[in-house]
Amino acid sequence: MAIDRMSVCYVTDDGTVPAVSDVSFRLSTSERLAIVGESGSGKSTLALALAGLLPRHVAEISCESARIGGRPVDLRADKSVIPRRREGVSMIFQDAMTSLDPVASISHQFRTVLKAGSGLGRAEARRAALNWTEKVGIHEPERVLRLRPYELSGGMRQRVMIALALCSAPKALIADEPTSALDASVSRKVMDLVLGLTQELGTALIMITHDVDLAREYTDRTLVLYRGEVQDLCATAELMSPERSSYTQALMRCVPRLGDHALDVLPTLTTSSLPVLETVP
Amino acid sequence: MSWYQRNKWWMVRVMRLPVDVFVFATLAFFLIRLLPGDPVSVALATINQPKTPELEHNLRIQMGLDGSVWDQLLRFWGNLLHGSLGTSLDTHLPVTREVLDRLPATIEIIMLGLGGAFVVTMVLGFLYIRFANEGLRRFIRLTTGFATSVPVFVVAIFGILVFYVILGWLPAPLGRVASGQSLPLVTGFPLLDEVLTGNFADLGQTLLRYVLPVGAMILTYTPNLLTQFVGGLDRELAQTATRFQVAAGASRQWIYFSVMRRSVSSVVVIFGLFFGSLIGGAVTIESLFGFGGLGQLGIRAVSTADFPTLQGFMIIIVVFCLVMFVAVDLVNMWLDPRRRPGVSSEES
Repeated sequence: MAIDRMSVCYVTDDGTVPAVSDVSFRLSTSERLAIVGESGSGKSTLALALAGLLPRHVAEISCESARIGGRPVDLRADKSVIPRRREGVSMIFQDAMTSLDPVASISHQFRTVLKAGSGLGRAEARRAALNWTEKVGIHEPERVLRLRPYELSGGMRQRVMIALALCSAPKALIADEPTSALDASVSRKVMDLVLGLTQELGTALIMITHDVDLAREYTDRTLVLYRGEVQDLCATAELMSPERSSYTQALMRCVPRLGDHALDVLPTLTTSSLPVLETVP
Repeated sequence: MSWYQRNKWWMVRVMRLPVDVFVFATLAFFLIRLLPGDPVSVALATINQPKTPELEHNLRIQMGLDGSVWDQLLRFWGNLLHGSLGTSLDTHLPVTREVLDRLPATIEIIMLGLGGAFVVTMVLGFLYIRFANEGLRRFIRLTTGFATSVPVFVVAIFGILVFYVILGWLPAPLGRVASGQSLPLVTGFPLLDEVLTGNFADLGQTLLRYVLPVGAMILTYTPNLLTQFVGGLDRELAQTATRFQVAAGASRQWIYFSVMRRSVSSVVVIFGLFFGSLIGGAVTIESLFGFGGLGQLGIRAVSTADFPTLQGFMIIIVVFCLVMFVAVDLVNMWLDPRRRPGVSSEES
């Protein structure tokens, strides 16, 4: 995946409002990229635009050039009311409860994805669905496939969502705060699962997060976003290096450490008061 | 899960129906008796006979108004269990027969009018999410603005004026077939009977005469249903569930279907409400076009002070509304299992 100078503007009644400007990055097979930033820094917008989930009446996207899986793609927003999927890019969201179709059975949700993606027949799709539910660590896949999302626990739903997103073997998986809704122990298991499966499939991973620790543990490189602009794009291990931009250094200082007894008050980002989008000059 | 557990949700709901009917029929019994004036004296006043105490007494027995209220209630319950609602004072026919003779024709016209509005709503809703054409979408949103703003009889009268009086394209609004002819009677549903008896010339006539009333109903009720549908669609389009279906690569047909299915429940509710109210309320359309129907029976019962018929009419309408509400509940529980009793949707 190679993105060059991509910008996203939201369409409002009073004209367009820039949300992401001039973002460029490259991502090779199986590489893992973290996009970190505060709330409102444009990281989710960037993710939605990459996945093709912003329809044209919502946002305008411009890009100098973009290639996914070696093929050039047109990142411009789709005209349809329900946007079309960006070929080869899957996305998972924070809350699996609201992400899954609340009333369709799990097996049905697998079938519609497998049928559209790989043209599998009913029996083949069922086998593939069983295989995938097992792969994401769900016991009794036969039983779970018959259930509907509201009959599953939060962790199970998250696993089902991951399986659904990956069963079409996408070139890239975008994970938007994939574990914020889960507690710490489940969150780590889910991340290990995502990591293992993407490595196995050769799928590149883009992880949107505000959790710097999570980024450090699970990604190779990190893109720091502030007000829709790239502050830094570097190896995740070098985030703490003094060569980083002043914003990144300030952001890193806000990450609390165990054993940091000297701190009575957690540091906050004083340099940044994120303005409302419209008032950004 | 056993068969019983899997099917409990609808069986419980259906079994509640007779209880509801019983309660509401009893309520109707008391409501009718709360009306001011004595129906017996009203009836006496309209009878061209010398008013003797025997006549009054006989009339009272005929109406089921002799004895105390509690005696009457017990007799009313007994008759209800036998499916009897008394005898019409006007025609001396059983009220159940009077009602059932007219009910199918009324149901037919409502099914066509309201069912047509439902189909048009689904089609417009599909176009609304399928095509991004701003003009089309604006037109659909504009249509919803007409909800409840124009009564059905205004549209119908306007239609009669234009298509019968001015253009002369459609036959006179004087019944289902040309005057002098009569409808075959098998099931009581006019169109169905014409098909069953192979009377296709009449079928054509009736269909032609249905164009205006059914068209008027579709025009009037579509905006009401569409308002609900477009609201639901707009809400569901913005849901993460829709986004994830796209992002995971589900087929387009499935996404359209899923979005529509998640949006349709409030349309079903409104459909059920209209259906129930139209059972008696279709009378405006039926009178305008010279169709006999249930509503006319009710009006006749009021004007002739036909007390048992009025009571029976009310109970049948109540029963019908209740059946409709059960149907609405069942459809919605089938569409969304989270609505079924005992299913918790939120555990986390």
